[in-house]
Amino acid sequence: MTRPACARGFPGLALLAVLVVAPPVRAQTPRPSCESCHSELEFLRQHTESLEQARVLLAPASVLAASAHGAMTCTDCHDGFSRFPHPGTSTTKPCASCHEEMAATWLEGMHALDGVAECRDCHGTHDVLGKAARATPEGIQAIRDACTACHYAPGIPDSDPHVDSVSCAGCHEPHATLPAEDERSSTHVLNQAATCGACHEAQAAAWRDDVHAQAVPRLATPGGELPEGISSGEAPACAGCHGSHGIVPPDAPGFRREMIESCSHCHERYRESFADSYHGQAATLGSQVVATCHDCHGSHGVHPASDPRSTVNQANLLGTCQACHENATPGFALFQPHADHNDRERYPFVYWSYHLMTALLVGTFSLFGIHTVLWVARLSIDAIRGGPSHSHHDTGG
Amino acid sequence: MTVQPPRSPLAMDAAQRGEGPFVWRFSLYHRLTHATLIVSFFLLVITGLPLRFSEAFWAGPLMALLGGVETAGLLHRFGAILTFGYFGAHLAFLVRKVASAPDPMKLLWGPDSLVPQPRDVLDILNQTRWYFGKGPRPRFTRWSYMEKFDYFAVFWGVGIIGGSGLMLWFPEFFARFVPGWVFNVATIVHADEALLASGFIFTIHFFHVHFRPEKFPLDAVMFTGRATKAYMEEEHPLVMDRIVAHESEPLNHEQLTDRPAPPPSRAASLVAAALGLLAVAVGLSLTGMIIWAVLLS
Repeated sequence: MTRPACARGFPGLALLAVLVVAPPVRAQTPRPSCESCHSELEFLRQHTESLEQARVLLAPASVLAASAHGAMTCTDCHDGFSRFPHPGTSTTKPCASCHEEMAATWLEGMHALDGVAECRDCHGTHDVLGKAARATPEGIQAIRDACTACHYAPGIPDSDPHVDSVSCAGCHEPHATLPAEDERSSTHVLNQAATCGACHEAQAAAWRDDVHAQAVPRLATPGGELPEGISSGEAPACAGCHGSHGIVPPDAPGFRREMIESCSHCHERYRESFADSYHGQAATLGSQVVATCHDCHGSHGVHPASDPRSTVNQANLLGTCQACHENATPGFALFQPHADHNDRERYPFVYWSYHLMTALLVGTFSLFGIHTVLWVARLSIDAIRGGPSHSHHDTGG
Repeated sequence: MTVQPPRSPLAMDAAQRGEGPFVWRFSLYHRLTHATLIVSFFLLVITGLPLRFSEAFWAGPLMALLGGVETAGLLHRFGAILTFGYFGAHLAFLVRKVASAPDPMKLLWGPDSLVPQPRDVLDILNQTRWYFGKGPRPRFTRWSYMEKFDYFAVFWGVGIIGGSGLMLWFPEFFARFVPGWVFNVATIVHADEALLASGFIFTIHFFHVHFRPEKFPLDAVMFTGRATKAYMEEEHPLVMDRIVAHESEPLNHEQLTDRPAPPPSRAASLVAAALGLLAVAVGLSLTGMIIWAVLLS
């Protein structure tokens, strides 16, 4: 863009400005300041064709002073405007003339394609926010507003704990913006631990060592080993389990159920057997105290049971039970939290008790059901025949 | 028999239909025990059923109504304490009754005993013959074989469900004596036996006691404690025969039942009918929920 929109359509402005402002300025020395004209919307409107044009030209000194560029003067950016009357068209210096590195990074991202979003589209112009201002709730909201001007979906719900503390740019690298499927993206499964780990250091460090982290590079490959219906982007890095926009905090009532859903997304078979246990039943109904997946298996340091570091390794199992069941004894740990009543080989007692109880129920209800149905049938037949069906004395034998 | 004051029977109650006079069938103790059983049983079923069918559409709302899983768990344990209470009291009652009876054998055998006997086998056979039009309807003594089954089912149920429930209530204690997988078995046994008990009560027991055409919609004898002569002739003809034969002296050794009874007051009858119908309605609703959950699972 060689001719910014703000300069279009009013080549006569310079002249007008001279006519209106010049006499008092001329009466006083020094040169007229930029502020004399550009801080009054009403004035600017009188000399432009539309309110929109006037707004573009508006640059109150107070706004500039409060911005990241507060220490700079107008002419630092507006080259060639140091003399008055100044040119009618803007010769704004590119941001890259100072922010070289940022501009170079921006060129790598999607926003650079066809200039779909340039510096000022996100940062604004005279009100550009500095690093510290961007970290305030207002700054975070301002960035979110800038992003959602185009990316109105998906939004981030108020229930997400990041809503007040992290802006979009906190997770989505703002200059080299790339889709999550791109391996260079800050939100790609292979980079999530680094992105989230910038704040959640301990969790990321524990995860890097666990079974999920080892599996992610393999699973993240398109056509990898993920179960059917699960995309590579859902591999068990941070977002695979916690989601992205709408993360449920661990102290929220829905967190435990959310995590069961996340784990069973891949480990469906274990969800079914878990659901048959008291743990699973109570958790499904919203209990906040019963054990769910991560209480026994760990969360960011999940290891297979064969690994001595695993919370469900034989050597550690009793301690894991005792986290809730303080007085648990070694025999207690022989409980089978994932017993499958259809697996006769692994769970013979559960298999037989389930099937015998089912037989008892079917047998009892069949026997008494037939007894009842025959009773009704007899009384109905007698009633239709008009006989006194319920007199014991008159029923013929 | 003595002439009784005029009464206005509640026709809805099968035990008040037909020709009088009234006789006592259940003592206050029996009625209180049965009332406690009803309250504790419903409490246990309502708080336990959502766990058994935790993924049914109604489970979450019902749990929320009960105040959440933890509150429901407390209520369930309270129901268990009530159950162990009436059950223990009944065992004590039985011991005392046998010990104090002038003729304990009458409790353990014969037409007034709840103990299953050869005549019950004959009654079952005759009932079956009657179903197929091959004989008259059997004439029952004080307890029909269905009533005996109901009575002993409570012993079986409290033993199995109560025993497994206690294990699941105090797993750390019981794990000192049994391996942990016993709790897996206890969970299955507890849940399925409870399903059997509630399903049986809400369908078979309700049919036998309330829904049979001759009793529909309600038999409140267990609430009011008394029934008409006509009812007794219909349901327990052999007892009525003997009452008539022993008109001057009560037949039952404890002299608590079989005596002529004043008709229940209108107010008592209405309260009994309302409670009975409420229990039936709740039971049938729970049955509907069970069937829905089983069919959709």
